[in-house]
Amino acid sequence: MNCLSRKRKNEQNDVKGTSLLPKKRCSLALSLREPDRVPIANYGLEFAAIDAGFKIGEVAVSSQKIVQSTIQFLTKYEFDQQLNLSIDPFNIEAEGMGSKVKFPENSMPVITDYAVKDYKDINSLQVPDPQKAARMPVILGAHELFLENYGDKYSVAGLFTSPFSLAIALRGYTNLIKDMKTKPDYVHKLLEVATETVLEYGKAFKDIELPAATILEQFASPPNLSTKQYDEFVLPYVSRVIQGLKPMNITLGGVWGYSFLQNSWKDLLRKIIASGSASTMFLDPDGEYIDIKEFKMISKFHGRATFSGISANLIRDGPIKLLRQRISKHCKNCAPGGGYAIFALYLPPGTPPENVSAFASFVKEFGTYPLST
Amino acid sequence: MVIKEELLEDLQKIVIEGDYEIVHEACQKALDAGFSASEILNTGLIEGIRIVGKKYEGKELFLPDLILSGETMKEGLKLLEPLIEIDESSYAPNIILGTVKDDIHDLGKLILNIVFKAAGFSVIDLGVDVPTATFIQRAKETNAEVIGASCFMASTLKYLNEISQSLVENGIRDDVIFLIGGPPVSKKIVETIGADGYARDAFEAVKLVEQLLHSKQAS
Repeated sequence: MNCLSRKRKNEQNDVKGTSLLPKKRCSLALSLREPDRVPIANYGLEFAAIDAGFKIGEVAVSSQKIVQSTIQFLTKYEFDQQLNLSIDPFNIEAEGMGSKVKFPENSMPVITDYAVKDYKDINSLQVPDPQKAARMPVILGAHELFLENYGDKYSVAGLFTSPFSLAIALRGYTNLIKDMKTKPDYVHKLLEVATETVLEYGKAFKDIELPAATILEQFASPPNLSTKQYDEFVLPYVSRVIQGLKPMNITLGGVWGYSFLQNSWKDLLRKIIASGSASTMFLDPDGEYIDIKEFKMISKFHGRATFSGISANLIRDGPIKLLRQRISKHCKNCAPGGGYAIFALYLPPGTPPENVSAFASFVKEFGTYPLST
Repeated sequence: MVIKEELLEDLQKIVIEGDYEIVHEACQKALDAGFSASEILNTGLIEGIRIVGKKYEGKELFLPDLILSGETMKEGLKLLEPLIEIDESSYAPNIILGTVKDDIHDLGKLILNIVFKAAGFSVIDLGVDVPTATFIQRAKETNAEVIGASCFMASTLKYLNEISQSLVENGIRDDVIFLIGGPPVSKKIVETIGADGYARDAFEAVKLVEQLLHSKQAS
C-alpha cells in the first residue's frame, strides 16, 4: 500500500472506525461529518460531583474536584464530552462584579443580592480581572487542568454567560424588564459593561488555547423576551462577543422556547445563525413541538452542527421506554449526514445511575453510523 | 370631560400596557371620581390582568408583558389595599406561595402570583429562599387553604419533601392543598413527596387548585 492510499485508508478509518477517541468523534460531528457514532455530551455537573463522592458546594470552588468529577463521569458512563466544567455557570461573572452569592453545601450557588440596585451603581461596576475575581480563576484553572491531563482524548470548551443573562444576574429579571420599558438607555449602558466583561472572561479562555466555547443565553429565550426586545437588547451584544472572540468558535447555547414562537421559530433559529453562532441547539420540550428534522436541515445548510438536549426529568424519572423512544426520534431526524451531537440537558442529583448508562446505550443503539434504516 | 366609566377602562388599559409608573395616579383619579377601592380593583386592575393572562396563555404576549402588568397591579394595590373594606360574605380562597430554601428563582412564582390574583385568590407571597418552618408558620397563621411551593433546582427538591413532612408533623396536612412546581418537578416527584399535584404552567395550576378545592368542599 503506498503512502497516499494508506493516508486515505486512515482518513476513512477516522470517519467510519468504531473506536474513535471522543475528541475526534466530537470534532468530526462539529465539522458536519459523520463520525463512528453520534457524540454523547452532558450538561450540568452536580450528578457527576455526587457520584464522585463530593459535596456540590465543595466542587463549586475547586478546580481539582471539578476535573476529578468530570473525568470519573466521562469514563464511567462513556460520554464523549462534558459541556460545562463548573457547577454553576450562571453566576460566576456576576459574582466577580459584585452580586452576592450564597454557597449551599448540597446545592448550586445562588445570587442573594444583586450588584445593581440603582442605576447609579452602573458607574461603579468594574470589568473583573478573570485571573483574580471571585470564582473565575477556579473555572479557568479547571479548564487548564483538564486540557493538560485529558486534552488528548477529550474535547474541552469554555462556557460562560451572555451579556443579557449577565445583566439579569446583576440587576434581577423583574427590575431589568421594568427598566427596558422606562429606562432603555440605562439598560444599554449596563449591557455595555456586561459585554466588556464577557469579552474579557472569554479572552482568558482563548488564552489557554480553548478552540471553542458556549455562551449561555438562558434568559434571552422566548417567552422571557419578545422578538422585538431580543433584537434590541440581545442580538447586537451577542454578535459583538462572537466576533470579538474569533477565531474561537462560539456557540449560542441555552436558548429554549422555540415552541412558544409557534410558526416563527425558524426566524429565531436564523437570527442565531446570523449572529455567528458556531452551532445550533434545541432543547426538550421544544423537540416535541417543532420540526426537528427541519431545524437540523436549516442548521446544516448554513454550515452549523446541531446539538439536541434530552429532558432532565425524562432521564431521571423515565420511563426508560419513553427515553429510548425520544433518543430514537432525535437520532432518526438529526443524525443522518452527520453534523449532530446529543446531550443530557441536565442530570439532576438523584438520577439513577442505570438511567444515565441507558441514555448512553440508546445513543449507541440509534446513533451508530451507518445508521440503520 | 372624562366619562366616569372611562376611568376604569383607562385603568384596564394601563394594566394591559404595563404602565406601572402612572397607575397610582390613575387609581387616585378613579377614587376622586367616587369609585370604591373594590370597584377599581375588580373592574379596573383585575379585569386588565385577566385580559393579559388570556393573551399570554394564547401566546399573543410574552412574559415581560405579564410581569409588567403584575407590577402595575402591585403598584395600584399599594394605594387601594388599605382602603378596601373586608366583606366577610365574599369568599377568596387564600394561597401561600414561596420558593424553597437555598433557591432564589422567583420567575415561576411571580407568574403564579399574578395569575392566581387574576383568578380571584388571595395570595400571600413569602418570597424566595424560604425556610420550611416559615411555610408552616404562615400557613397556620393565615389558615391557608393552599400552599404552592416551587423549586428551580433539582438539588433543592429535598425541601419540598421537608415541607410535606412538616405539614404532617404539625397536624395540618389534611387542612391544606399542597402543590409543588418548578422544572425538576414531575408526576413521579409528586408521588414520592406526597404532594397533591403539580402543573406545567400557572393556568393549569389555577384549574387544578379550583378542582381540588371543589372536591374538598364536596367531601
